[in-house]
Amino acid sequence: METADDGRGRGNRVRLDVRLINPFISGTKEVFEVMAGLPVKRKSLSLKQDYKMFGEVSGIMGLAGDAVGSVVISFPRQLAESVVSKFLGIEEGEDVTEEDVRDGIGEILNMISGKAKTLLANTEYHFRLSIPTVIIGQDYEISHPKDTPCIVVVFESMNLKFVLQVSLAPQKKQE
Amino acid sequence: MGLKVLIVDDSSTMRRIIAKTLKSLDVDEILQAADGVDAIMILNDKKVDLVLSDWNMPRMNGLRMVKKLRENPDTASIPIIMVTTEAERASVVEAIKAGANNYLAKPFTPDALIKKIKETLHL
Ligand SMILES: [Mg+2]
Repeated sequence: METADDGRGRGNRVRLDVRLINPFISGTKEVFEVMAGLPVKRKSLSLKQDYKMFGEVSGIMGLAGDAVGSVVISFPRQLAESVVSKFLGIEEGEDVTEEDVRDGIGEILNMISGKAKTLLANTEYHFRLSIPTVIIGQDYEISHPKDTPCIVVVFESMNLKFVLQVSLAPQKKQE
Repeated sequence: MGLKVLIVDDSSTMRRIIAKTLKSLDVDEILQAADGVDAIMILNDKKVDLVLSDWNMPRMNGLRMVKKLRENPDTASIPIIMVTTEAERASVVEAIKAGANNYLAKPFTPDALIKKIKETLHL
């Protein structure tokens, strides 16, 4: 267990299960480093209290199986474009289309979730992947299950921040 | 004679990354499909030397596609490498049982992909 700010700004600490979040953190670092040669720094961990999204470009994937929930990755538009360019090996200054960003961010989320899924095999957090969806826009919300904590991890790459949100809980066994 | 390769992945980003990596091999034609249905249609009238396929795709996933290709005598022996985020032991075993020749987990480096291809095609 690791503690994190509860996000209410009163310095309250809550307990987070690192067995759940660490596979997503290492998955994120590995995907960026292996596929794009991009170093990624993990900054803060906290619990999300609202549904407002961090950036204009967000990928979302529903997770089901032994555990149920969702994972979201959210980037400011400029960083989303730079990251996708790096993955595609596109030269600096060359254009990345909105379709490239949409597809690229979806596939990055797919790889991160896939890596986490493999690391969580044989735990109560094991899940199945689904096809990712990417939303591009301003001031929108994406909800997460009310009764499941939503862990927010802030990362930094190319001097800009992006976030990964994980809200996942083992299914209650039917008696 | 260069190789003909079919890349099957629902992500255009991933298809581009793979296509770029193939440039370091003697490849003279790259075909692309976004899911198993399109891939089978292409393979109905094109002969290829290698199929690189994703697992999670809409309409028909990679596992079902491999099974279908293996049922058809015309496509039963095409070398297939699964390139996928599904990297759990059980998934690898399932794909190999279904008829995939080799397996590569995403994320991968260009070198890892080239190595798998060479291994599979005995280059
Ligand atoms: Mg896919």
